[in-house]
Amino acid sequence: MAEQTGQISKGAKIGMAVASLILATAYFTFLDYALMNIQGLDYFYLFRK
Amino acid sequence: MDVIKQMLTGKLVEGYMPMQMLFELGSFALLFIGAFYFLGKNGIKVNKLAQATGLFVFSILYFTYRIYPPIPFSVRAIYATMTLIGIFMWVSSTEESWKDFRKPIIAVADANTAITKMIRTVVVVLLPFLVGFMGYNSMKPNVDEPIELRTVHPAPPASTKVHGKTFVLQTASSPYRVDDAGKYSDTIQKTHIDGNPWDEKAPPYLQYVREGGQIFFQNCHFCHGDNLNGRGMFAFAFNPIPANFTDPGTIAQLQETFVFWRVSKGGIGLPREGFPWASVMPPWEQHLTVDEIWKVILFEYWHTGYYPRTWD
Amino acid sequence: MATLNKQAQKKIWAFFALGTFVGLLLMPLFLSLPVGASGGAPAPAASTAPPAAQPADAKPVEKSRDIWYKTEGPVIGAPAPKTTDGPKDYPRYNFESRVLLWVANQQHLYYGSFVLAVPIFCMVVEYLGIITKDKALARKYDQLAYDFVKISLTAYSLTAILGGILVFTYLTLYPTFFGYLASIFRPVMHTYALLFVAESGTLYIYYYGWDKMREGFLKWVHVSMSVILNVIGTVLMMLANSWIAFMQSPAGVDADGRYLGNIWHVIHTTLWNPINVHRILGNMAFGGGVVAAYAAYRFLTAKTDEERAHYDWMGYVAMFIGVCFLIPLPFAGYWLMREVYAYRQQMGITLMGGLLAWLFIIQAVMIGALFLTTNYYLWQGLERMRGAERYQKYIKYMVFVLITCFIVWLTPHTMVMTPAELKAMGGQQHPVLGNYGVMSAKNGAINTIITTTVLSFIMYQRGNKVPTVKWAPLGDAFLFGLFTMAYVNIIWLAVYGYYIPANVRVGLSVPQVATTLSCLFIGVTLNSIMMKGAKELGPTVWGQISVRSQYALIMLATAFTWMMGLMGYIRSSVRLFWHVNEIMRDNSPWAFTHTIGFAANMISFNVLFFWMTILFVFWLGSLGVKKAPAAASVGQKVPVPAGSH
Repeated sequence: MAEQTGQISKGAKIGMAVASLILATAYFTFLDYALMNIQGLDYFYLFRK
Repeated sequence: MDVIKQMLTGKLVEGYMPMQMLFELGSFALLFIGAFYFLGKNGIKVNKLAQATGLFVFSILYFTYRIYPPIPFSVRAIYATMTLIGIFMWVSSTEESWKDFRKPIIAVADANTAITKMIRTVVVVLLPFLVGFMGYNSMKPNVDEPIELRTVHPAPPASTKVHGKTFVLQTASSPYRVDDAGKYSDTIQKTHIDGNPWDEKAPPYLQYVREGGQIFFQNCHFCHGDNLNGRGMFAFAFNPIPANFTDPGTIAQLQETFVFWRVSKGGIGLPREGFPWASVMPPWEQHLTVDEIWKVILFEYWHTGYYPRTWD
Repeated sequence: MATLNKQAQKKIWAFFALGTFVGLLLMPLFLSLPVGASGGAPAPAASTAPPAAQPADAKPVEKSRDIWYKTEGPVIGAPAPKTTDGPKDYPRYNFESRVLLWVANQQHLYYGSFVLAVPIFCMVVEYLGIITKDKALARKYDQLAYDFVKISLTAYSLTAILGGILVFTYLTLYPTFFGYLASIFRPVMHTYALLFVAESGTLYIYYYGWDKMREGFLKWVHVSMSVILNVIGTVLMMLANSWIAFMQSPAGVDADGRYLGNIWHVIHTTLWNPINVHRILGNMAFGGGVVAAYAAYRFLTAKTDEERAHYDWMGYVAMFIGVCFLIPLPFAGYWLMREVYAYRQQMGITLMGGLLAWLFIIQAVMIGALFLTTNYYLWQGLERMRGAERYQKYIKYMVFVLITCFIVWLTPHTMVMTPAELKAMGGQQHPVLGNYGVMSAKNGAINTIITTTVLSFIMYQRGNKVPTVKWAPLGDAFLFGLFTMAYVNIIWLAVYGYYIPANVRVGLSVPQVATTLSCLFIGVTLNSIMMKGAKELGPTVWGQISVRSQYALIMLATAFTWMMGLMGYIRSSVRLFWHVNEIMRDNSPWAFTHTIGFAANMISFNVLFFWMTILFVFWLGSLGVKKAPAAASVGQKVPVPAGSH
């Protein structure tokens, strides 16, 4: 099975890493926003004018 | 971008220093790891004990000389201890590196060669002297003033009486932190943070800020400074120097009512834990009205851009 | 199919039996509640109240307002007595009464939390033994659970003895205060006593019935009994907590301290639930630490490889359980702190910024020691596994992250410095240290530390394994993304906190904690799934671990004990000169706050005393053992929690 891991090209690995980074960013941003919202607070306080 | 440029030239940039220090530490750590890796690749194996010693000495030098203003010894001692613990955890993390680390120590203890024998002799002779020196140092009469554990923000009373009126610190609020309709507002400061208090048609909040500013510059700025940073012209006559409102650890951490109590009662009104004379601020209730005190506090928050602490 | 049904049937019966047991055992509690609420007898504490306070309840049905809930209620109790210094209210030996009470209280608490925690482990381990398919493993688990309960049995009687000593100390040295407390908590105290009987009964049946209830349905009943045991234990603790919570944040009485007839208000004060949660988690972490130290001690004194393997394994399991509860502990503590601030700002500032702030710095050091030790132990654990060398090269980076975070975490808000240093620095505030000193930075640091601990654990889980699932590269990439962004998010939130007002900033801690918990739950779960059926590069050789790791376990346990003593002292002394906060004043000569040095010495004394007596308990436990563990040959497959087998 280890060979199978080896079969995956470097490009695909980087692609997956980038995709998961984007996914994680989206998830954490949503988490920050939602949990602040539940407390009745504004996560984007600084960026709103 | 300018900030990054300054950082890269090795300048400590005010306001960014905390992150800058962490960043520098990280870079140096990577540099260390990289350097020893490179040396190892080229056949020069640096012993773990030597690496550890180098790292420790470097960290001491960094915390002592790099950060300005200088860090007090008590904090540097904490940092050095933490570094030492970290180094120990690192060298003993694997059996192999632990053996490497102990090797020179054991070699000296065994003293199988002429050199190690000499080192052992020197160490054995020097050790009692070191202990003796430590003993001497701790017994030596000291003329320094004693260290005091000053409580900068002692716990306030539940309520305070100013000009015959009782304010409950938990529930009282500034009568001037109000929106245009005259109702208390948490958000009004943010709305007008870039507003112009000198505008004739400014909303009531900004007008109060202006009045507070006038009071500040007539009474407070001699000590607390015209930039509210605790560097007024009289500041260095006092020890400790006056509070720096632009620091995130002062008014930014406190409820508005706490500040009201401190300003009204001054240094002499501090509870016992704040004594003796850890503040020479006069009790301003003797010179200002209740309204003036609230206004000057309003100004301080507006000017520094910090918000008073609230609990809901 | 038929066997499955039988299994399910067994479970249903077990749950039924469990429900009945719980119902019967908790009946006294429910029965006592309405009795207490309607107020059985008038003013039982009247005799202890000084005459000056008597006329207050002269009117027939007087109404008064609850000091916390603000509800109206009929005045039933007597007002809180106003004590004076003297032999009537504060009889004493030629010694500081408070210190005697301190020792009695602390020792009772140590043993109490130990005997509350260990049955919970027992329950978990026994359950694991039942569901494990492998017969040898099941026996090993069962034996471990039995060993646990055996230790806790001796400790249990010691707890009761210490509880008795504590009550007598109260009665003899603080009679007026205890009388007042008893007058308010009368029904609760009786329920407590009855529940204690139930707890003892269940514990003895549980222990002595172990062999009789070994097979089939009876085994399920047996494991159900451990659940009941723990339910009773938890309720017991919560009742006891209501007393201390009342002393700190009283409710259900009016401003004079007169009981208003609603016992639920008296129990359910604002700090009760935060203290409950904090104590349950704390007990578990503490219990894990103590058992781990026991295992480490046996490991270090072991003569054979089998013994070493067994105790290495036992230490690992105990440490694992302890750390599982250590991780949420700071969050529970944060919640408690927030509630304290919300209750009285003054109390919060006394704790965090005022009189007791220095103790909090010591506490920060201890928390640091706990997490560092845990990480260190996990790294050392990599030595057990062949193939784990791959991960050892990452240790240095993790050390760096941890130490840097601790440097931030330990930077005090108010620094100790000589006047000369103060002048050189140009004031109390430092442009670097000042920023590290506030909550925003601390939250960022501790969350980074916990996330790194989770990462260490994931690394340990993977140690000698290579995932074989098809989506392994995707899973690895996802773990990478998750942890990278978690670090970024935590640090970002910490920095962001400096730019926004305090009330918004305080809210940031919630997403920050959620980030850490996301890593914990998503990361560990995903990793465990990936490791299902993974290829092993080499066996896990229990017992093949450095002695340093075992000293780390002992250090972990000592740090737990010391910290418990410290935090208990802080929580208790924040009332300052009040017996019951703002209701009953402490007028004894010992109403002052001790110096930090004296308090630290007292805590150390308590810790030493506890460890000496618990060693005795362990020794007693070892007397009954004929031959130590069920033979576990080196390299034999042994169970490991969290699905890494």
